[in-house]
Amino acid sequence: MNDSRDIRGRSMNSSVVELSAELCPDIPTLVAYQSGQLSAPDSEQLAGHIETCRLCTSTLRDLVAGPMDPFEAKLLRLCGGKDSIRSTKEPPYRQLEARALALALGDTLPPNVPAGDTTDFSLGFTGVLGPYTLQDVLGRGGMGIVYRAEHRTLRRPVALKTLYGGVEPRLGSLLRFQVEGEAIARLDHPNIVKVYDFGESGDQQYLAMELIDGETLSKKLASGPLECDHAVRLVHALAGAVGYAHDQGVIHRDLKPSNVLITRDGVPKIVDFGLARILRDAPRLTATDAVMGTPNYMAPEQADGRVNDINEQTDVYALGVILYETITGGPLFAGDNKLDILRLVRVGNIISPRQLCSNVSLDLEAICLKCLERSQRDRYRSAHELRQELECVINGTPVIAKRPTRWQLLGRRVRRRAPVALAVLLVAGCLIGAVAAWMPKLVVSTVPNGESESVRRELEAELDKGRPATLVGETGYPKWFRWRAGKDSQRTHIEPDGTFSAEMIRPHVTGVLELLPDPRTDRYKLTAQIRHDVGGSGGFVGFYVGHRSYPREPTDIQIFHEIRFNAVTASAVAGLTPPRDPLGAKGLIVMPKAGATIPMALMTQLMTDTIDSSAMGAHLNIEPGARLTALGPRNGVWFDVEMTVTPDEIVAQLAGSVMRLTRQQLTADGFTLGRNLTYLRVNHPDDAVLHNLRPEFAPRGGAGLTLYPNAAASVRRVTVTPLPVDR
Amino acid sequence: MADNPVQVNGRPESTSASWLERVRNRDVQAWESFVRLYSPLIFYWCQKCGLPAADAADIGQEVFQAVLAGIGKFTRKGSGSFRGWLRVITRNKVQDFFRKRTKIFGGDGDAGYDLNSIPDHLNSNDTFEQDEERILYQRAIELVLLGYRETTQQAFLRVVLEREDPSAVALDLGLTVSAIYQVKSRLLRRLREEFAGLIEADFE
Repeated sequence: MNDSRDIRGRSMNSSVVELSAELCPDIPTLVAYQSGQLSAPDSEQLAGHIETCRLCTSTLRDLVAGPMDPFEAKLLRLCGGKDSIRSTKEPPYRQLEARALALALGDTLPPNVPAGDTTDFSLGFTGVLGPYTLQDVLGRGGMGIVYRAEHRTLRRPVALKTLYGGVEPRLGSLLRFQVEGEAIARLDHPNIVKVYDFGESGDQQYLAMELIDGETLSKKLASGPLECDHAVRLVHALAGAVGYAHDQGVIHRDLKPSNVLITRDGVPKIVDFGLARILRDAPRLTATDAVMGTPNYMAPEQADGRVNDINEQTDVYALGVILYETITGGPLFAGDNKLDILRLVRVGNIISPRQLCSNVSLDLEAICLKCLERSQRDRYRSAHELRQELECVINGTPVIAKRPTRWQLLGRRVRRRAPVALAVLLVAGCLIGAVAAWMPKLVVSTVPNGESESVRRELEAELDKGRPATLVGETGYPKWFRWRAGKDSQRTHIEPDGTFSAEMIRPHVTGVLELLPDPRTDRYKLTAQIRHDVGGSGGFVGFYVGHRSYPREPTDIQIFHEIRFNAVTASAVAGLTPPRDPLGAKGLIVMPKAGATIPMALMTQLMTDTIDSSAMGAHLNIEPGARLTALGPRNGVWFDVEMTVTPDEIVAQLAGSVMRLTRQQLTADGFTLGRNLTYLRVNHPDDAVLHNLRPEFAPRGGAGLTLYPNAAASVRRVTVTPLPVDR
Repeated sequence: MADNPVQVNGRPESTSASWLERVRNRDVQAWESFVRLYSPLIFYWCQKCGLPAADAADIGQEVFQAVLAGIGKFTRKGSGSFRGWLRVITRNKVQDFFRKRTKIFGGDGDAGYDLNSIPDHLNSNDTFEQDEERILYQRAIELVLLGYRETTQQAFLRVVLEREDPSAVALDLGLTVSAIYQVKSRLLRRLREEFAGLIEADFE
């Protein structure tokens, strides 16, 4: 084709495309053009010519109608026809794609598979167990596998639960198994799953139960809290069943939402009554309590290992946790790991339900908290008593929990104001567990309303005078605060050492806690101390300045500059080694190696406070600092943070590392990852606000704390100091 | 190599090599193109093996992690298609997943997870290869069309994928015929430059 002739017989070298109005390209060049094989500049130049050249246009018409080039033919063969290409907003692989994209950004999103599923115990599956034929696996609990099975002679369908494969049968446990098994099999209540049969085959113990068509309460709660009325009726029914079992001398010991089945007709039924006790002596089971599942529903006496104190009120406590979770939709205690949760159970620092869900009545809150009292004698004496109280709520008659609990609340508030004394008390309480009289009562944090107009004015008045304003003191809540993002997925409390702590409790939701809406000057310094208490590989925490909102439906676009770090967890992402130049002008970013440390970074974030399809988030630039060694959860290490903001730059210091973003980098054109903004626009083609967004650096803007999903941090000594202009 | 679409005027674009190089150099844009192009295919492979959608996201993340970890190690000596390599990674990850599941749930009693059938599903054959290519090219076209106006998208789809007469499409959409040729040229060029190499990539 190098020496081909064009249609008018002129010779032309097609590898060098020279075009002018007078000179038409040869046919191979036109062929290459219309099938997209010319380089971009050549194509654009040629397009300009074709627009004005009728000859080329008509030649193209013939060429397009003629034989196709192989690539085009392939596209037609593979994707031809109407509607072959249809862009759906929510394709099924969206989640997969989102998680893979996040990998390059050094964040892992939490996986779906619960960590417990990797527990390594297997069961030889024979299809037959005693008189039962196994048909299907229904699920796996902490104690064994549940099968759909059928009694071969009775033809009765059952749920058959194997109790831990391969356990050496010991005389003691076998005896207990039989004796207690009889008591359990005698239970007959509409809200208790009927146990038909205990038995063993080989060394495999099993129990056969009523087969329920329905789902567990835990699954139901995964989609959100229940209406208060519904929750009250549910726990009322459960309390009735638990009371009945107590009357028969059986304590459940392991009540939790996953042990409550809801039938298709909405009838709650409790499973696994008394099983925890039967299995107490199974050797491998007690050796690793962790196998038993979450300690979230353990009463303090169980968390302390005071086995002899376990009684009916232990079940009352668990009913209280179930009530708490059904009305608030969140866990009573959220922690990084089981030990963490156990610690929280022992300390008993509970956020009152009304702080999380304003629909909860005072009466219902009082009942819930009375169940959750640390000391057994402060709880309801029996499940029946709890049931009667809930009945009063249903009927609208006065409850007995109300007055005393409110008196106690008053007392607790006093304690909250003397946190150091409380800490001593708590430590004493934990250490000298035997001295029951010293046991502190339940601690209920009452979250103050942070948005006090007068406090904000006081802070601003100080700043206007050029004086430092303290946003968070040595201990206690911030002087002023409001959640700009993640309000429904956070909780705050005062740590035993008196410091303020905030945590994000749901996956995917990032928290932005504003501590000051406006520093009143464009030159200032923010100083703070922060302790990173909990966080997974994506669970960063940090401080931000220069927060701006761009109004948009359903939620604003927020842009701010933050210094963020992770001192708890090293990255779990297997990735590439960090580049020599960690952040070139092309916007390369650091991909941490497996088990590597995560670098801290000063970055500009764009995000929205939503988790639906309108949600968006991107780094607009990133300036990495030193890498922090993972210290693990509850490491107790305080980091000094300093952010100096002027109209020319933001300089952040953390753990001896200095990061800087200049004004040039902070303008729309200077964003090193401005491409991220382009991607957002492509993914949200209809978002007018996003498309018109020209983010510019404004040093004056909100300042506060950021918390990434499932992260918790304590902060203190947060101060904003205006800087003189001549600095 | 008459039908090698990445050869243009005798100049090999060698997109696969440059793409591999770019990911090795931690070019985020190269990574994102790769993820966006291949996510539907990995999802499809997972579904072929009977994985529920929710688990596919987990497996997908592991596959991409493995790519990130393994791509640096690739020597030019290895042969075979990039897609084949990816298919093997996916199959291994899915097998690991089922192995884990089997350990937990026990044996072949767990309907829907048929461990033995997996290798067959992901063994390559002609129809299978064609399905894979279809998924990749469909996604590539979607990605290339993103960001263009509706009329531009329509012009491309109707002229290239439905073989409609350019003049009629131009009249219909209120564009000039030369604009239609321009759209066709430009989008085909982007498909070749940005994705064809990535789809056909071989380890040389």
